[in-house]
Amino acid sequence: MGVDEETQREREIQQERMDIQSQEGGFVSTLDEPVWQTIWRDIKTVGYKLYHVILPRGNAVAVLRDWDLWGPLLLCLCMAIMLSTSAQDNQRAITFALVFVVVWCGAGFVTINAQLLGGSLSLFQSVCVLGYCVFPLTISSFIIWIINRIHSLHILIKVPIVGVCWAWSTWASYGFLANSVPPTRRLLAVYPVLLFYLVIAWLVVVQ
Amino acid sequence: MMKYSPFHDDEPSNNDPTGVQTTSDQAAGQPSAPRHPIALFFHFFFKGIAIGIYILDYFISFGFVITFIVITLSSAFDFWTVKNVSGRLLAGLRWWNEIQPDGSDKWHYESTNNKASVNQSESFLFWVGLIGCPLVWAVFTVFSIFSLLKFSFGWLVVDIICLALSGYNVYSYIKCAKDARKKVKGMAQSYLCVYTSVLPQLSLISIADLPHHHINDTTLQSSTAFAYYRYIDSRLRFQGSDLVRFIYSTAYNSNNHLLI
Repeated sequence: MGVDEETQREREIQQERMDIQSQEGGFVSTLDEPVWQTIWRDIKTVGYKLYHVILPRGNAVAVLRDWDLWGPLLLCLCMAIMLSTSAQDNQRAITFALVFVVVWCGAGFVTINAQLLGGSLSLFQSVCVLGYCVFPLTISSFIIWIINRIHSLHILIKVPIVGVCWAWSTWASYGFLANSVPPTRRLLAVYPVLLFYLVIAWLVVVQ
Repeated sequence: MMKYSPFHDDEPSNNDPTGVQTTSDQAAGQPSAPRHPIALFFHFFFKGIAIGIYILDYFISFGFVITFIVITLSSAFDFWTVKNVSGRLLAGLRWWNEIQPDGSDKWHYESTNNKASVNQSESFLFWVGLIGCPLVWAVFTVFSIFSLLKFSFGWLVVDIICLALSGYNVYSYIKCAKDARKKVKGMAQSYLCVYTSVLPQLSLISIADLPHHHINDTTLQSSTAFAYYRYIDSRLRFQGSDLVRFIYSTAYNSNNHLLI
């Protein structure tokens, strides 16, 4: 009987592999097929995740668990371009590099903090979540950037816009990260996230 | 990041129909492994763009922001290409991350069972490109820190980003290569195991145990020898030992004779 179980199990494994293979479209011989198909598939995944950051729905947590870092890279690039074009000429380069450093190192530190507090999300998942939740702040930066082209905004108008987006970012990431940390440590884990988005919000306001 | 189907031990011909794939006559001469010139080109293309633009910027200044964007995107594309395409096609190695149902993640470092599909010169070029790139960026980083070439905080960031991206690929592929070496050792051991554990028992099955009339499939299925053959075959198929499978199938298929 052991023989039959074993062959059955191996047949199941092979069947699983063939299912995955047929889902993924199988191995291909040229480079063109995977490149365009995969790129389009990844773009759709990024869009899907951004949508879930804006309007968190039922399976939002599961969506961001399947991590990828293209979204955060894209958002980081957009924000860096907008902030650096609004900066003064001699500060352009350093602004650009600063945005990158703040976003990625900040996300890294917040993740390490969450891990040390006993978080269950892995390093890349947390960085992915934090990176995607920068999206509302990117939107606020875009709004301010657009309006700045026409007419320079007073800081008192910028602060509420950015403040709303800061709260939105923090609330979005809280929804994803909160469940991964034990309840007693939740505030300790969320506070650095607050600070992280505050720094980015400040960069946007000063734009 | 991206998930690809696991290596298919049974159907290596799926990999590249343009090349010659032989599975059962590994003993007979050297099969030619398929070549992937496009993969080889792209393996070096994005690395070349990143390093080239970095060096070129020293002579002609394009503006920091544009250069940063081009180099960073180039490095990101290179990371993706090496991880998902070049490693798989040129060296038969792959690594990926799988999210388990309980939320934790598991890293897979795999190498192909089918050595014939890996072209040695392509594999060599793959490793040269893979290891050379972070070395070059490490040199640039050192230069940036000590302001020999051009110092500013921005260029240091570029160097570190490219070093981190290319370095992580090197780290992961070295782990894959370790898995490959372990597999070679393991296969040698499994040959020994199969031979020593199964051979004596098969030799005990004599012709007298089989029906004397013409052996057809229904008769075969009822015999213990056939059941044993099926068991061995499924175990060997799982381990991908095509050579041993071939020997057993030859040994069994000859009419009424078990060669062992």
